[in-house]
Amino acid sequence: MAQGGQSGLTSAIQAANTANGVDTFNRQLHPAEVQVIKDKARDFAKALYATDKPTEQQMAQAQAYLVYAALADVDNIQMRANVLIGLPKDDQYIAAKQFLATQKDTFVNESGQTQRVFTTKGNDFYEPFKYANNNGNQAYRDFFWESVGINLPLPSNASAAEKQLYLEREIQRFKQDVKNALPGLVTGAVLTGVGRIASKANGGPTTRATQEGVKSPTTSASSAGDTLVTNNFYRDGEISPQSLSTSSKIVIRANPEKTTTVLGTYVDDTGNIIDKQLGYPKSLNYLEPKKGGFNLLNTPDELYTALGPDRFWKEVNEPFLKTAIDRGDDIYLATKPTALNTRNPNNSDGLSGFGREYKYLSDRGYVYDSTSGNMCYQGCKK
Amino acid sequence: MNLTISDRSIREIYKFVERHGVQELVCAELKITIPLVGLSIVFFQPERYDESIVCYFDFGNDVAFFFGDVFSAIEGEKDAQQAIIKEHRINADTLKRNDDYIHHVLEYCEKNFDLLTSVPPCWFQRAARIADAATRETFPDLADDDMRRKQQLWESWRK
Repeated sequence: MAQGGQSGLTSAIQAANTANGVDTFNRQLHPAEVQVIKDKARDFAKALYATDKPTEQQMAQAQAYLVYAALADVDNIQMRANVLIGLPKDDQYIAAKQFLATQKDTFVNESGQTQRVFTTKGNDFYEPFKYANNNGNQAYRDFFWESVGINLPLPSNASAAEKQLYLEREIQRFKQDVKNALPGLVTGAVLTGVGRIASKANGGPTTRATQEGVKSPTTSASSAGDTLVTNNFYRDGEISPQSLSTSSKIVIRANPEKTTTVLGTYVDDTGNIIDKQLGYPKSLNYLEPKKGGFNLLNTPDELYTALGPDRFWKEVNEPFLKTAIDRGDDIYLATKPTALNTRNPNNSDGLSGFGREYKYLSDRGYVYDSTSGNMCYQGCKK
Repeated sequence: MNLTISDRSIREIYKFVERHGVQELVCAELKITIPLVGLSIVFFQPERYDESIVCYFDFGNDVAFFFGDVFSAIEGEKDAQQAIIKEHRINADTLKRNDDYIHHVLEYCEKNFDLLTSVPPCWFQRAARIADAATRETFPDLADDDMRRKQQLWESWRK
């Protein structure tokens, strides 16, 4: 099988990993999960490319998608990296996720429990070194190198031959990066990959990553990646809007000196703001300041699925609000709170997600001003 | 529309619409509205990540009642609310849950159509009190506003 580092997909992921601070010490796949991917890659390639005889390249690509989809299933950091470059919008990636979801093989985990492949138990999803001990296995390292071009770090007791092989792969990786960097873009090799994949995901030839690169020849992969998610350039290649229209008819303007946090119901406002007005990316940087820009909670769906409603509220939504308060953000409600939209009979506490947010702020002394849509501590000054 | 419902629910909604001469079904993102005379039946998904739907009766001008509150007002609070919540509690199969919920609501609306659409509705005041009780403890300010709007509408019918 061809070394995965040659593919656009792999370049893109490596770019995202670099940009997102992912190193090779994040949660690894269990060997049983690796075996399932090896065993089922041909089946997946057949289905993906609708052929009985997938080519070697199709096999390589299919396996690479499976590996990255599998890693995102078990590892928070890799999931972030995938989201960063828009992989969840890639049909082939979605197909890989669906394919993995149908796999019913099991393995015995470190706690002696039987666990279904590509699932997590307990805090696995956030445990960075889980199964990293498998890096000591040469076949395991070969699998990641050959399928996705990841050169896993060596154990401390690696032999001289293993060190030599590791070094050769590092050199090969470096050469590939340089090769990618030469045609066209002046940024970093990895950004070429990001551009390719993001372009596919967004359905357009112009991407944020490539534009960043053109603007700043010295932009490093990581700084471009950070810019992708923290600045106000919500939508590819367009200047970010500085005001938002809302269902309450109030126009919310970004405070150039502060982060402007916006809350509301998804059906009435935040869905529209995120998708149509801002093109706001799904991200896990919801605690970061966005000075001069808008701050909305827009995490990947996988996070909610992994945590469930109660933990999502406690571990994501509450910290999001607390951080906004602590930072002194301007906080606006895009949706006017009413007795109806703050309730949800489906929820155990009878409150909607928006209702919980409104309660959280009200309980801490914030008062809604229906004229401005602002929620101010102890009421807004007239 | 994007609601997590199957063809079964779509067919039921259209049958209901046909039977009651509704001119236009209003489909929006995560929301479907059946306009009747004086009020609308609205099915919508209130949460972003949870695809379970809820129904409310909308009189416009921010006067609306959850189906459960109206049901309780008509059938009695003691068991009615419990029955609805239990029967349609979120479970593993959201699609089935939503289909069952729509079936339940439309069947109830069909059986009680005249009662629900009468003006002024005999259940209105009682449903308002039920909704008020559910809101007041957490959001007294919103409960006041809500009750005021409902009373205004009620008074307009009484004139």
